Amino acid sequence: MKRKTRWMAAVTAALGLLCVSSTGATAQTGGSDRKEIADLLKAIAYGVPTSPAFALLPEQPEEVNHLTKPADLTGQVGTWFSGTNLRGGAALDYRPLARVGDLDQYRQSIFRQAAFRSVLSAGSASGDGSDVLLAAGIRIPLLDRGDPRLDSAYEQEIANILARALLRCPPNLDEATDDAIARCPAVDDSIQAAQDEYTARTWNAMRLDFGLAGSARAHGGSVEKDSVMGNQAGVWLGVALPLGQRGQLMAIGKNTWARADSSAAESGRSTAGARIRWLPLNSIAVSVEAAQVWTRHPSSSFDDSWTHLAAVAEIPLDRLGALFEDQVIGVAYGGDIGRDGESERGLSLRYSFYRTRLIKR
Amino acid sequence: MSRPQVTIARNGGLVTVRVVEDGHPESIVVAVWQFAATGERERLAGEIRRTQPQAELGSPAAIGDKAFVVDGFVVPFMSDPPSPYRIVVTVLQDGNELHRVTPTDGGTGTVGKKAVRFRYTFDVRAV
Repeated sequence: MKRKTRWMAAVTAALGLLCVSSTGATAQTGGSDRKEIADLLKAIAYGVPTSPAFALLPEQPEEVNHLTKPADLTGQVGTWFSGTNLRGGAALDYRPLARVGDLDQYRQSIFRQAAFRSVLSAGSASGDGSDVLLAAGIRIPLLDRGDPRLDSAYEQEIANILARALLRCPPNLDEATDDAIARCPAVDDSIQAAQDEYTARTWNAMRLDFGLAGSARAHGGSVEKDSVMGNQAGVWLGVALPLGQRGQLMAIGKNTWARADSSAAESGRSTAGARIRWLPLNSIAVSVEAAQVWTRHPSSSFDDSWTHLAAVAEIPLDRLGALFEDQVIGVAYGGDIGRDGESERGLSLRYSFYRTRLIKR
Repeated sequence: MSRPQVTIARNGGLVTVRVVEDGHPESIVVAVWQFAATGERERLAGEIRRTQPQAELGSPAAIGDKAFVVDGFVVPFMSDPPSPYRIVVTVLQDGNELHRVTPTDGGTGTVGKKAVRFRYTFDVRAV
């Protein structure tokens, strides 16, 4: 079957599925906006958060200060406190084990790799009233086959770009580096192109990540012992495996604990699930996922568990003509099964036309 | 502008420069340029890579009144968050260390997605 014919058949099948499912007895269906499909895909995160500490805060910090040595922390104190009280919106991260040896030693030891990649993070956010939430955590990428440091060809390619730049624009004596940078042609575009190519090639490389975080609530922002109490904790373990060059399997197991103020408040949540993504370039992209979620409460009568299912396909429509340039039709089927109360939504079919793809590498 | 001076023995042997990243899994690319006392650029004295960290500057007779610029980049490995680095420049004669320094101009810092430039300039004086 020719490529165009295959593609037309896929569009026809998708539109047919919409028609057939609209007559189904159990499934809801209908046109929806892109956000509804995005929400279905975002309901479960299948990776370990980049900064586990920030996952326990109600909002992500806008700016993160990157510390290079512990002494840098003293310069940060002013951004964390307003007078003697903590304030929200501060964030930092730090590689505690950056001095692991040279690149050859790094390439020979998975322990050095895991140590170097580990990142501590901490942040604060405004809570209820004048309370301030404080969170700290660590992310340990135990394995990362997509690590550019392990790829001598990447190192060589970037080094060659930089060497050519050095020879093409020699320095003047006593010239400041900033002046040289302004005088010489920029190398950023060439490096960016090489990095994009590397990222496209290794997007689905094998990864194994571990994350751990905890948070505390400081009443009124006070750091007095009696004013600070534990609030939340979380542990994550995520794995990503390649499925050929175009597919990826991601699996996650995570558990969170929370201080519950009432018998009906959630005191813990466990999640286990997996997602498969299939992303050929400029063609149909598919994401299929399944997860089980368990919630815990001080009173076990409020405990709940449900199954989350989602299958999403994005079909490009640009071959239908200029009117559909850069458009995709997103078709999604999924929802939560077995969830108690108002949160029960059941499975439903959604579709929408939009430009910015939701299933990305 | 006053530059650091490295004193070498006029009757000594070959002078070399070594540039390395100190203790982190980073990579560097360096060009070393020779200048006349008048400030005129004379030649490319050598190229340095992580795997070949040393370059010959010349004999004391040839470089006894020259200046050198160590001009380099730290290779970006797309670290997120950016990772720390520290460059160490060492001048040696007959393999003996004469001068060791971390450049103030970009010699320490962090590197993420973009290459970071560093530079160190010094005079050589033969006595």
